[in-house]
Amino acid sequence: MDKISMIRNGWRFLMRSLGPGAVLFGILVLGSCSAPAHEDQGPLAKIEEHGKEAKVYPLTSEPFTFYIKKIPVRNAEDDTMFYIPDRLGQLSSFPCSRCHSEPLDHLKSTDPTVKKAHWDIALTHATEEVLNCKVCHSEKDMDYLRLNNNSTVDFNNSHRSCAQCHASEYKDWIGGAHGKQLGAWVPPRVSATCVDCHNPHSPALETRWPARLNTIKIKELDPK
Amino acid sequence: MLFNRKNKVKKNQKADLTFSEEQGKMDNRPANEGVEQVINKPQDRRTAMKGLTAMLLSGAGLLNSSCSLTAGEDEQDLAQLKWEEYFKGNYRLMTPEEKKETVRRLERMYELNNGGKINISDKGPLKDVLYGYAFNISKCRGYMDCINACIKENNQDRNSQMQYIRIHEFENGRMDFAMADDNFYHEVPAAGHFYIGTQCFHCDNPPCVDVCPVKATWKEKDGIVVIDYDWCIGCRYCEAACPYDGRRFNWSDPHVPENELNKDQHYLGNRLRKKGVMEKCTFCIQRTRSGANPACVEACPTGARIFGNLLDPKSSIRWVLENKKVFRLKEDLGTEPKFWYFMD
Ligand code: SF4
Ligand code: SF4
Repeated sequence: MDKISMIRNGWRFLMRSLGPGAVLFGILVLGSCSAPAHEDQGPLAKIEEHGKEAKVYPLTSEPFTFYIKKIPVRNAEDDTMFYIPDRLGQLSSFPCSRCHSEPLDHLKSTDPTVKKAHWDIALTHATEEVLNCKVCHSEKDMDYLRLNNNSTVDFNNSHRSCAQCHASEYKDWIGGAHGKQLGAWVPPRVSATCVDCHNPHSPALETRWPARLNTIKIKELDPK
Repeated sequence: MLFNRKNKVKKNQKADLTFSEEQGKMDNRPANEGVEQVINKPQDRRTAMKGLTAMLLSGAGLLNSSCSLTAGEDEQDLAQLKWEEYFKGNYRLMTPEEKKETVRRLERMYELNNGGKINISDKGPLKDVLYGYAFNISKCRGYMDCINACIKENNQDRNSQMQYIRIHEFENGRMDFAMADDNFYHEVPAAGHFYIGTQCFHCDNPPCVDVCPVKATWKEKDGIVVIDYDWCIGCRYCEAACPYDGRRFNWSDPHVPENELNKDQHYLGNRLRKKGVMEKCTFCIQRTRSGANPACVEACPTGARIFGNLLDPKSSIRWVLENKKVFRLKEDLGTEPKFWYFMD
């Protein structure tokens, strides 16, 4: 049987067994279902339509972040996890306790010709009333940072120290609105941690010259 | 055609035959030979193109024979590739094999022309992915590192100073693009000012796509609005239709220094363009379809740029949309950009 007669016979069969009304109705219903829903209603409608189930990707961020030694951070709010770059390995004179094994007063030199150990650190972070070294560094154990209740965290978890004052920034950072996602948009997420961008002793970003100019605009305004 | 016909007639020494007579006789012949083979054999498009090029070349060869006896193999190859490229279809309508073929041709042509190897991808959209972008106005400091990265990544013309991204400087308290300074030349951020970056917003309802008379630009399944640079006729309708200054036109032959060329390319992305065609931001399609962040996101030192999958409830971009006060430009137009702005 050739194709055309097959179609014709099928059509006849449908018409006879269901009746023309039902067949037409069926076509209308099927047609409306196959039309793409929300084609023009924008991304929000598409998000809505897509539901809440977590995505599984055939890709990971690993090829784009392999060079980063990663420390996990747990997001308590929805029990998800992301990663931040290791900090301990980047500290040049760690462990601090190598020098800070005796009280600070003993280490302080009054001889002006001796170069100070932390000559390059100037604390421009909040006011003196709010912050001095001992607010963030644990006096008990200089290899750790200090939290407000006098407990300690290691340098890899410095964000927990920052979070105590900067609660809204912390919330945005955990969610992904503050800070920078490194390498890839696919999970697992690797984000810069506070101290990757902000020098904790002087956290405000400095002004600088732009990397370039919007030169094409200059040309358009001033054709020469 | 005329030239070939003459050639053929001469070869078979049937100069006295008229066109129709010859056609009639052909059917009775046991096997076709020479140029006839090319014409009469049942052919797919590719072999047909090959044959035609061979004939053109032999024609050109005759003309050139006084200077050089044989055209170089590479030259022939290049002419062949050019010919096939010239007659290819719209990328969107190509079968996967045809896409692979054109990509391979372009790679080979680059090799023949420039001597180096490039890698052009034809990677399609990922399933269940709709790309979205968020821009933190409070974070942008006008550094413009994004623009430099974009130019490098996307092989933009260095001579015309083509740039997809623009950074606008505003006085605090008034976001009026007519009042923005696009030519700021001082240390940034300037006191009392804020900065906004614009680029193609990959509208979900893109007016630029609707106006293209030859359907050279369209929206992919993952939401990226792309251009087939080989199908674009350069009418610039789309540029006029875009309400966001998203499109850029190549007024001159784009030039990229060989040592700065990004050789990881995508057909719909950063492959080399030519004079007279439109181009624009593609959300770095060559990067993002493999999972990487766009170059601007990667380059921004402030974290003002956030990119990700809108359909993934766990993505950063979704968190921004759900937890920050976001807005888009000219929302009343109904273009539905997939590019949101927000403040801390
Ligand atoms: S921003 Fe302009 S170029 Fe980009 S999709 Fe929208 S209308 Fe088209
Ligand atoms: S310039 Fe190219 S992409 Fe734009 S409307 Fe004309 S043909 Fe289409």
